[in-house]
Amino acid sequence: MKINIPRPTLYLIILSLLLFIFVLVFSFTVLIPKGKEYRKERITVKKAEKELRRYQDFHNETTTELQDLQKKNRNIIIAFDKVFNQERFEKQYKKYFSSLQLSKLATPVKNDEFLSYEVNTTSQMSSPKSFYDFIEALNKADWIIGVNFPIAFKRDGELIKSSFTMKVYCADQNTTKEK
Amino acid sequence: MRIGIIVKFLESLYSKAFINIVIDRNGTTVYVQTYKKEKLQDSYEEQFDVFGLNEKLLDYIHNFTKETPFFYIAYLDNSTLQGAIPTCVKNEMARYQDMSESEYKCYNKQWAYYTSKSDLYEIEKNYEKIGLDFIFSPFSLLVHFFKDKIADFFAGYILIQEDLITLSVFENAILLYAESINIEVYEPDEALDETLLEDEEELDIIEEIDEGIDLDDISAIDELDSLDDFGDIADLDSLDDIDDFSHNEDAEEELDEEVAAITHETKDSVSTEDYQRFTLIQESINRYYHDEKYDSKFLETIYIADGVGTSSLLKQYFEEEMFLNVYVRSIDIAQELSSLCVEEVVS
Amino acid sequence: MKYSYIKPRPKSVFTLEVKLLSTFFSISFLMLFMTYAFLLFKDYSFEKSLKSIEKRDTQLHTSLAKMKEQIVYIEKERALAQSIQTENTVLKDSITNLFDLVPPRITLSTAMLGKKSLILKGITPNKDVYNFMLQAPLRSIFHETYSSFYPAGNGWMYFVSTNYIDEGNHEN
Repeated sequence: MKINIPRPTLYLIILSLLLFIFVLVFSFTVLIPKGKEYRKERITVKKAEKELRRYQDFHNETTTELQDLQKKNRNIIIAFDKVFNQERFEKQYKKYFSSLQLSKLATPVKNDEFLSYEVNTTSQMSSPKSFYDFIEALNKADWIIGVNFPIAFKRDGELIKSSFTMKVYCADQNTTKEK
Repeated sequence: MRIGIIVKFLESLYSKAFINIVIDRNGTTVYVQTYKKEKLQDSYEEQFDVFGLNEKLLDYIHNFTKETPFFYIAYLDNSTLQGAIPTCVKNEMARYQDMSESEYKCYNKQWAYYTSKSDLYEIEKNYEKIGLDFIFSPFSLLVHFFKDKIADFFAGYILIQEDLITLSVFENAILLYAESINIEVYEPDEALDETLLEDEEELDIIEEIDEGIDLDDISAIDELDSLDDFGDIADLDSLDDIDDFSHNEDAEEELDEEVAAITHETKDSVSTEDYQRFTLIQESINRYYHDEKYDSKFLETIYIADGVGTSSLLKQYFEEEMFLNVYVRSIDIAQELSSLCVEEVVS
Repeated sequence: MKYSYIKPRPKSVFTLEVKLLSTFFSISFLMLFMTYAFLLFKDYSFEKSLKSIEKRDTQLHTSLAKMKEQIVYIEKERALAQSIQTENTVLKDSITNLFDLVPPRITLSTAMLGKKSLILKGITPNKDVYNFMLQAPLRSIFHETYSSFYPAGNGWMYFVSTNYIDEGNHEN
């Protein structure tokens, strides 16, 4: 017994089968692996984004930290960057002494990350108290200056002559330029 | 362009079915040809006792239409109000015929065949359930059948169907005259009646033949000097009667009589029919001669496409009565219709 | 249409069923392909994201390194300034202490303060005052104390006091 299917119907069945097979093949060979890939990649990206956010937060924290430091130590930073000016110094601190002389700036010496200039100072004061005031004032100076031993005091009539060395510290421009 | 090639390929996957419907007195003939890749594959034929559509016919046709989307259903126009005229120019047509109710088609830009619009509509309505793709005029059929002869020969070309005679006169492929003649069977002669009324079977045969007189034919006859024709028929009858009597004188009684009567009835009816046909054709040709509208030249030859199975008598009639050369060719109407259909589609 | 009175109905390979099937499958295919296109697009966008994340990461890294350097530097600055200031204050305090140390009856003519040494020159009415008032406290501070005297006339004595902190270190 032969079952007779009209031709157009037969073609239709064949067409449907072919199309359906194509759908299946396409779905399984292309779509599903691609879908898996998509899911994997999505997780990867999400993780990376999370990491980045954390890093960004840390970065922001560090930024605030830096800004705080900069704010807190503004004066110090400015002092380190300021170029030492002998005339200005003399002008500013003359008041503590009867007279004040500074030697010329020698070549700077590398001191860790900073440079220091040795300045020989001779002064005449009426009483040691001026010296104390001077040193106190020095700590609040426009520059970072340290007074070094040896210090020599010599009585000269009513006045006390003193001579000592000061070290003026400043930022090393070369290294700061690199920064 | 690429799409065209794909479509062509897809089309070649299907066969083409040409379903031809021919209506005659007995019923419907459905002739189907299937083509695969422009080559004939199979032919099928089936007769149905119905005019129009019934379930059986629908089922039969459906067998073919379900196999392919490329099926063409052709119908041979059997309208009583059809014909052809030797002009294709609209203004001139009114000369021959009132074309207000007719649908016509031009052939070769030289002549036109027409049919009644309402009949056309009627046909399409009858076959609504399956729908028709083509309706052909028997004139197209005739011209298609005698294509080679029409091109060269000046002659009358006649198609004989069961109830329709399609007549045309061509010279150098130009139509000079055409007529579509409906055949109605006349009420049988009284002489005939007496001999035939004895058997019931014979009565049945009579009922088949007896369909009354067509008024059209009567009016046509009035125009002619055709008293001679009537005389001839009477002579024929007497001749037949003589034959009948001779048969009756032979041996066995009723059986023989019946058998003889029936066989003679067919022989009789054939020859009667043939004579009727001859008469109708003759009348038409006379109309051709006498009517001024038509450019009449004296016919010497006629070609007959015999779709019914005429006897040699028909040929005799033409040769003896009208002195015409007659060439009779047998035609399978349904098959010819199919080839028309194929040509419409394939070319 | 050569011979027929009527036009044939249009015949097509694409019957209603074929069209329906094609539409249905077209929609299915469209959806499949759209999904595929989406996945491809997402692939590309993920790649882009990762690249940009990577870039950002490097940026942050360099910036962070820079900031860390700066922080370290500022710390150093601060430390140094602090130590300098402390040293100055210590220095001031030690000088204050020294001058406070000196009794009123003794007058200093020279004082030489070194990191680990102290040399005083002055005049004292007598040795005892010097020994009790100056030498004794000095001894308590310094490891080594040396004193030498020179008569100054009218009973007063010039003295030179040399003091060192740290054994074996006789340098200033």
